[in-house]
Formats: sequence, structure tokens, C-alpha cells
Amino acid sequence: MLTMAACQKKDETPMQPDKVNISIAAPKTGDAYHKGDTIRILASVSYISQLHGYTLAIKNKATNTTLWNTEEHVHSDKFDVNNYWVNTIDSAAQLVLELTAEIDHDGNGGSNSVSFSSQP
Amino acid sequence: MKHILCWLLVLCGTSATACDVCGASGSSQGLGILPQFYRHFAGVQYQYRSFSSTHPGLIEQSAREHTQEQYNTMQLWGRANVGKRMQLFAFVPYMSNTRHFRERNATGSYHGLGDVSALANVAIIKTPDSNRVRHMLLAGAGVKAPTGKRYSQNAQTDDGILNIQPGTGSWDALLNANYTLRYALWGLNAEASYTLTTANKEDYKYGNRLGTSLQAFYWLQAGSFTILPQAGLRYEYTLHDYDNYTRKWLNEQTGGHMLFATTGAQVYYKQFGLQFSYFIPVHQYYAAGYVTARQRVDAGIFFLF
Repeated sequence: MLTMAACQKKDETPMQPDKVNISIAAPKTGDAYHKGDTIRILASVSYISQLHGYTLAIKNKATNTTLWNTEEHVHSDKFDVNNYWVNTIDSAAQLVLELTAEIDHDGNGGSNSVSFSSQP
Repeated sequence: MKHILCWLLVLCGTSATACDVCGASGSSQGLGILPQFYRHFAGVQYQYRSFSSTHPGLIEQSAREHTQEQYNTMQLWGRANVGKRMQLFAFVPYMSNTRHFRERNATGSYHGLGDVSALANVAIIKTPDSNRVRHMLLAGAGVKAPTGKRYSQNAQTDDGILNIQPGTGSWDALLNANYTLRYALWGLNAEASYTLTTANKEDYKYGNRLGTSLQAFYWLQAGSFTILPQAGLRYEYTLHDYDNYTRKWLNEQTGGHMLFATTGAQVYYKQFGLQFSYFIPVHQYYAAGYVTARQRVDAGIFFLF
């Protein structure tokens, strides 16, 4: 039985995290939002082989605290990200959106980020 | 009932699974021990399967989710004899499956027509009914068509949904062999079946499946009733699924093996038959250990003509 499983063909593409391509279309660097504004998150991700999923996080740059995060399993070599976050900050703050694409369960992958701000 | 000689345990695969872990079902269906080789029959069968699953997060540090899956299948099926040695079977299942997310306290339901299948069996060895020691070897092949309802065409973003849907979306080939030995009132049945899957149109390929069983049975006559208690073991082995068969993206968190202890009985009265089987897992390693099979129940009624 074990032999049967071992005989299954498998993609042997070597892991190359530097081949993860992440393009963030929104928000754009320098965008400013007020409390209650909806921050639309649009991005595209591609890789030479199968991806495992992605994580999104919005952080306060000054305190490095995570204001919002989510993760999604996606089993493809390319996919689009379409999500949003409603700004809960009522003071001035520099924020950063981090998008990390995972290749495997061990945290291997690539990431990209974009900085924007919250205005009072 | 005097002519009840032949026992047939046909196994047809049903849907297995997907997502990272899931693969919950990995199921094969036992059609039960069927009587009276020379007669046609039609029947209704109910099957219950249940699983507990742990869904790891995207990475090791991510929170895990826990689900309970329940598969309920109501199936119309029947047998038609063609000549003295061939039998044709047809199966039309209707499935109602649920998945309960423990942490979210949410339940998803998926129901609809399942994958229809057909099977042809031939008696390769068959000793006369008058022999004190009788044995029979049946072998056959069939096909499972992708008639089942599919809730999502997007396997990439609907994690877990693949293994809870009524349909697999794929054409599969079915093979089986069944050997029965009877001595006086005692009998032994050994069978094996294999499901050769193909990729569906999303290029997802469920793992090929092997199902085997060994059952002992006894013949009790009580007036017009014939009662057939039975007990045995059932072993199932499922290969890994492919998330993308063309690209050979093997999903190593699917597939595995399960060993069940089984017990049950069949009761016959004139042209009617009842059957009940209970399965309890005694050993298993499925979906990299993330999926645990619970008990199974099969029950059915059929009419011989």
C-alpha cells in the first residue's frame, strides 16, 4: 500500500520563494483614509508552481500592532486578492498593508507591502 | 429462499475529498450481501457516514478549525440478470451532507443527486447449488458518471467544499471481484474493488480507492423468515488527490487507510429483504491524521422478482 502512494507522480519544482510575484493595486502608497472609510485591497499573486495561500495584515507602523489580519487557502499558481478593511483609527497614524503569499505550511513564500495613512 | 446461494458484495466508490486536509469522505459504499443470484431486484438503501476533521491554518502558527461531517445517502439501486452468468447493476444516489464548524458554530448543507453508476458482473466460477461445499467467483467492471450536483466550480478558493459535495465531477472506472464459499449453513465472503478515478473539468483528481472486505455469515431459518447474521472486517485504502492533475500538484493531506469491524444482518421474507450493517473503525490514518472516521451505518430494503 505504501508503495502505491509512493508511486504517485508529483510536481518536483524546487521551492523558489524569490519567484513569488505580488502586485498590490490598492491601496496605493500615500493614500489617506479617515475613520470609517473602507480600504479596498486589490492584489494579484503568481508563482512558478502551486501556492498554498496568503495572509493579509494591516499594521500600525509606529507600534507594530496588527489592526486587522486574515488568511486564505488558495491552491493555484496565480490568484487575485479582493478584500477590504474599514478603518477604525480616529487619529493620525502611518499604516502598512502586508501581503504574504505562502508556498507551504512552513511559512516559505514571498511578501509585499504598501504604506498609507489614517487621518483624523 | 431455497435458491439463495449466491452472495454478492459489490463495492462502488463515491466521492472522496479535497481542500488541504479534508478528504473526509474517502468513502466506498458497500451494497450489502445480495441474495438469489437468478432473480432481479430493486431496492432503496440508506447510508450514513460521519467524520471529525481538524483543519490546520495556513501556516503552523495559524489557528485550527474543527468540523464534523455527516454524509447521508439515499440510493435507488437494482439488479437485472442477463443470461445465466451476467448481472447488471445500477445505482442512483441522492446525497444530503452537512459540515458543522465548531468554532464558528456554523453549519453548511450540501444536497442533491449524486454520481450515478452502473456495473456488470460475470460469474467466472459457480458450482451447482446441490453441492455441499459451494463456491462462486464474480468479477466485473463498471463506470461512474459525473451526474452529481456540484456546488462550486472554483476548487481554488472553496477549501473543503470538494469533499462534501454530492458529485465528484469525474468519470471513474469501477472494478470488483467477489468470492463466496459456503459449507452447510456457514459461509465466507471475500471481495475487493478498485475505483480508477479521472480528473474532473477543474483538473482536480480524487485519489484511486481500494476497498476490501472479509465477512463470515450464518444461515438461520425461522418459519418463512430467513435470517443471516454476519460479521467481518472492511479495509479501505485511498491514494492522495491531485489539486491539479495536469501539473501533478499532489495533495498529500488527502488519502489514507481505514479498517472497520463490521456486523449486521439480513432478513428475508418471501420476495422482500431487509439488510442492516454497522461499521466501527478499529484503525485508521486518513488525511495525514487530520480526519477521523466515525461509525457507519447501512440499511436497506429490496424487492426480488
